[in-house]
Order: sequence, then structure tokens, then C-alpha cells
Amino acid sequence: MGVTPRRSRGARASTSHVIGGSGLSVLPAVIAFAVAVLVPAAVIFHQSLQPNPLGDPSAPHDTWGNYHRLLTDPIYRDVLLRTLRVSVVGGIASVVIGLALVIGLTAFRRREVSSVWLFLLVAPILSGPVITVLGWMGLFVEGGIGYRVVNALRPLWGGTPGRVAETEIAMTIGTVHFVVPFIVLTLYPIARTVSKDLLEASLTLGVPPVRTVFRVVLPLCRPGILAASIVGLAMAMSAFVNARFLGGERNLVLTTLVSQLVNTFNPTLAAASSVLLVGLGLLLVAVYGRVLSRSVRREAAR
Amino acid sequence: MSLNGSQDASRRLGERDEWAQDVATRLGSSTHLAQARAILGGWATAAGSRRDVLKWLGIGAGVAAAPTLLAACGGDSSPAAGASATGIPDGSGRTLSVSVWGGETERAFKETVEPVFRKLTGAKVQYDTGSGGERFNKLLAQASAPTVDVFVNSGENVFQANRQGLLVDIDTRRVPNAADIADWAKLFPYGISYGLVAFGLTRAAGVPALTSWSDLWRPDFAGKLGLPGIGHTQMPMFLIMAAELNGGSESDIDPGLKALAKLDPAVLQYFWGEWADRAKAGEVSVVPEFNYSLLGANDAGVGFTFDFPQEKAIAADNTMAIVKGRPNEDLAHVFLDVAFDADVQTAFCGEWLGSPANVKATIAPKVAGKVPLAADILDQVRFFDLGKIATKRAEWTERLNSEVLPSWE
Repeated sequence: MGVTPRRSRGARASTSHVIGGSGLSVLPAVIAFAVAVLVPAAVIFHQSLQPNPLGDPSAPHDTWGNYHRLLTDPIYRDVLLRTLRVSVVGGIASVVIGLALVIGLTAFRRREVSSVWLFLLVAPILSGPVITVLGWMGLFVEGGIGYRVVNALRPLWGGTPGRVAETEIAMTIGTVHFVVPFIVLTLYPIARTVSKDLLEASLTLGVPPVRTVFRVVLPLCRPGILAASIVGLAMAMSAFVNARFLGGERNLVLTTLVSQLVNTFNPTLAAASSVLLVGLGLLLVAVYGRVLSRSVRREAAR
Repeated sequence: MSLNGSQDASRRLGERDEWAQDVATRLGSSTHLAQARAILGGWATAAGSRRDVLKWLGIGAGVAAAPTLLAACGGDSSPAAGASATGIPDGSGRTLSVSVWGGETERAFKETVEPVFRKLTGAKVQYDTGSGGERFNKLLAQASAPTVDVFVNSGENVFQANRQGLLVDIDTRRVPNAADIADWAKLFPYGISYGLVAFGLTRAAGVPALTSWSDLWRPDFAGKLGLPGIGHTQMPMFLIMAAELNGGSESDIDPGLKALAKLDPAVLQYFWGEWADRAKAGEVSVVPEFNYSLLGANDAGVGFTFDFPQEKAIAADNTMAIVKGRPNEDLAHVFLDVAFDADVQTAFCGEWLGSPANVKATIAPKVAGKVPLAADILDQVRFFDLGKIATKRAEWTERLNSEVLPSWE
């Protein structure tokens, strides 16, 4: 442990030297970021504090009223919690499934075969989310395959059989289907860098394949897994199409709430909801960033 | 406001030759001028002849719009920049941008209004498509530099756009076909509706005819309803209906909210595609829906029937308006006039499946028996105060979210 901090400091000093001590070289990027992201964000934040220009002019106005409502009204608190739940559950499930698929892909001896499978796995990205969501809508109708499978599994977590369309579980399944291809694309190049020699060494020494995956492959893929988790969380949180058509208004999340408010002449509450969505996303990424840096430090210490 | 003002019949007849010459010149068919004159001479009495003209011009069912169009563009209307000798603005090298719903409505404009408009003006047409709300918000966001010339949206969105100062008053002298538009379609001075659709009750085969909005609360329909979503265009009207059935009113909406919370929907929906599969699976048997949407649903095999409730169906009028601050105001007026021509309306509504707003329009043969004339359903639909609804929608949506949605989960 004693060596690690010195090595870490050395690496930082070296990096700083390469990009220029003054940091001026990153100024264009900072300005571009400010113009493209911070300015619109500031406009939306400002809008969220204004009275609704499309609403009843006689309605009383409170500057922070929109945020107060979103954080205290039970229906909007439910929306926030559901957003968090679907993002975390959907994001983590996507990473687990994506990881399993990537490990399966790397097991093919011939790279051409894994390339074909990789293409098939990421094909939903090409068709866009609408097509897949329409497919799920058909599967979730009463008596459909999706309906039967979900209802067969529901008792596992104490659920009762019933409608599947327009439920949180339908929305989560759609979210996972939407996010998994992006996880596969993120993880696959990293998984391919894991040396086959290490795997063969592990297997030759008598370690079972499953244990080899957990003791060799996963630790070597860890930075990639954490990066993919951030991608998964961010995409699950900002996904709209599956939330709109598989969850519906009975399972509002922040994206569908924003859409509903924008379409019902309530742009200021929609702006406040957008600010919360961005805030929630940044919070999750910050937490993950912390976990990521700790993990990398731990790796470096080994 | 007088719509027809100087549009007396003699003037129309007097300017028809001029129109024929102008159209023929534009179409590069000057040798056919005499033929055009002969045919156009009898247009007012022979609908068949009018269509012959259209065939001859090769531009579809709507070109007969042009006589009145020309009559308007000449005479007492102020000539627009680049206007031709006869008053039709020269659209060469120009593009008119039309904000419209994608799908059937866009297709109907492309196939019926656009060809006539293009032949007359030489201008191109481009479409900016999206949902009504999206396009309204886009217009609002681009208030200082709008990118569309013609705004096609629900009457309520057009009302809001006008309240925000985004529209110009329509110069009806430049839209003479507005004289033939029914009163219910006039959202003057800033909007004119091109057609009427009714939002009523639809039911599955085997369900007896529905007679009242109160049928939705029948216990045998619990869990079988396809209700409009909270943000549905017709939701505020639906809420008012629910309030009135329970002793409330437009200004006392509480009984409506309480009543809606007692409903048990199988699906919350915005368009028929969201409930069609579930109706076919037997999950949904009663759906408040638009009459024209049901035609699409039934083509997809849903097999539902439309009923007008005794409290009347909710009227929905899709409206056209002209955006302020654009260089194509002259072309936009022509586009509206073409869209409101009787024959174009007949063709347009044959594609769009709503009832035409022009009282002289007929029902296209291919949809006869399916699409009603507006006059035939006018006493069965109810028009709401769009201004009041637009003002209250945000507040009511929030109340629906808080007070009704939890009961519908």
C-alpha cells in the first residue's frame, strides 16, 4: 500500500506536464461545453422559476413552487423514485446481461463468428427503439408470450398475476432491451483485450470455467464494467420511448412526465422536471465515478 | 366579418378567363387555353366538368380551387411581393414550410393540396411533422425566428399560438374559399378549420349500443375501458363531461375529477394503435375515440362501432393558421385557399377521413358511407370554449395527475 500513493502522484504529475501546466489547451473544449450545455441548462433553470406563460394568469406564483411541488407532492415523489428504480434496476440488469453476452462472444474461437453474433446483438440500435417497443407491446397483451412469461415469474418476487402492458415491469424489460446493445458495444472491445493465455493458464491449473470468469475475466474487465454501468444508468434514466409506450402515464418517470407537461401547456414545471432529471443523472454518475476511482486505486494497489 | 365581400358570382365569372390563361401559362399549356375556357365556363353547374379540367391539367381533384383563388388574388386584395399579373404570388425558387401531423394528415396534404398549390405558384412545399404539442412548443421556442409558414394544429393549440402573438390574422380577401367554410370552422381572425371529427364512444362487437357518457361507469365495463391519456387533446372536454354528469361544470371541475377516479381503465391511450392489439385480445371493449380514428382501427381488424352519446360527442376541429414573421405570408394564404376549396376538401377528406369544413364539399366516393358530412353530425357534437380550456389545461392536468392517476394504477 505504501508504494501506491507515490506511483499515483507521479502519474498525475506526468499527465499534467504533457497537456500543459496552465491548462489553456483545454480552454476551447471548456468554452464549447459551456455554450452547448451550460447555456441551455441555465435557460431551462431560469424558465423553471418563472410563472407559466401558457397557464391561468390569475394563478398565484411562487419562485421555487415548481421544485417544492415536485419534491413534496406524493405523485411527483413517486415519479422520482420510479425513475431511480427503473434506472438502477434496468441499468444493472443490462450490465449483467450484457456482460454475460460479451463473455459468450469472446468464447468463440473464430472472430468472424463472434462478429456475426455481435452484429445481431446490436442490430436493435439500427432499428431504433420504436420497432422493438411495438414488438413488446404485442407480446404483453393478455395471453401473449410476454404476458404469460411475466405472470409465471411474478410470484418469485411476491407479485400477483395480471395486466403486464403499462406496468413498471414492462417498462423495465423494454429499458433493458434498449440498453443491452450499448453495454455490449462498450464491453466487447475491453473483454477482447483479456489475454487468452491467462484464461488457459487458469483452466490448466484446474480452476473451473465459472470460477475463471469470476476470478480472472471480471477483475480484468472491471473498469469497463463500471464505465458500462454509467452508460447503462444514463441511458435507462433518459429512455423515453419504452417508458412512454410500455409504462405509460400510469407509470410516469421523469422523461414521460416532462413530455406530458410540455404537451399540456406547462413548460415551467416541465423545465423544473428536466432540471431534476439532469440533477439525478449527475448524482448517479458522481456516485459511480467515486466507486470507479476507488476500484481503480484498489487495482493499482495490487 | 364579411367573408365573401366582393366575391359575387359575376366577378368570379369575369375573372375566370384570366385565371384559365394564367394557369395554362404556368402549366406550359397555352394551346389548351380555349379548352380550359370552355370547360371552366360551366364549372359552377357541372361538377363532372370541373373534374375534367383537373384531369386535363393532370394535377388531381383540386385544381378547380383556382377560379376562386384567382378571383381573390386579383381585384381588391393587396398584391404580394413577387405577385404575377393575375395576383397569384410567384413561388419560383421559394419553399413553403407547413407544420403538420405526420402520417395520414401529412399524406392528405401532400396528395391533394400540395399538387394544386405547386402548379399554381411554382413554390415547393416542405413539411415539419410531429405531434400537436411538439410542434406548438417548437413554434413557441422559435418565436423570434420561426421556421414554418403554415401551422396546422388543434384549435386549442392554434388559440394558444395566437395568444402568444405567433400568428397573423388571415386576410380573407386572399382566401376567398373561406366564404364557403361553415361557421363552426372559423376561429377568426387567426385560424380556419379544414375539417371536423367527433370524439365519442366506440364499442366492441357484442356490446349493445352506448347511449351516454355515463355508460363508462357501468360495472360491466370496469377493467375493459380504453380511456384517453391525461395529456390527451380531448381530456379537458372529457373531464368537463364527467363533471357535468355529476352536478359540476366547466367552472366546478371537482365532481369530474372524483368521477374519473372511479373509472377502471384497461389502457390509457392517445391513438388507436395503442389499444387495437388489446381490443383484439379481448382486454378492451369500450373506448372513447375519434370517429375517423376508428376507421383506421377497423381497417386493422378491430371491428368496433362508433356511437354518439346523448350528451353529444366532443367536436374536434383541426385548424390552419399563418405564422407571423415569415417571408411567405402571400404563399401561405394561397395554400390555405387551395386547402379550403370545395373539390380539394372533398379529395382531402377522402384521405384524411374527417368531415370537410367547406359546405360545398362532398364525400369522396371511396369513403362514402364511412365519413359523414359535417352538416349531418353537427347536432350530435358539442364545441367547447377553446380559450377557457387552453387556460385551464395545465392546472387540470396536474390535478388529474394527483387526484385521478393514482386510482388508475
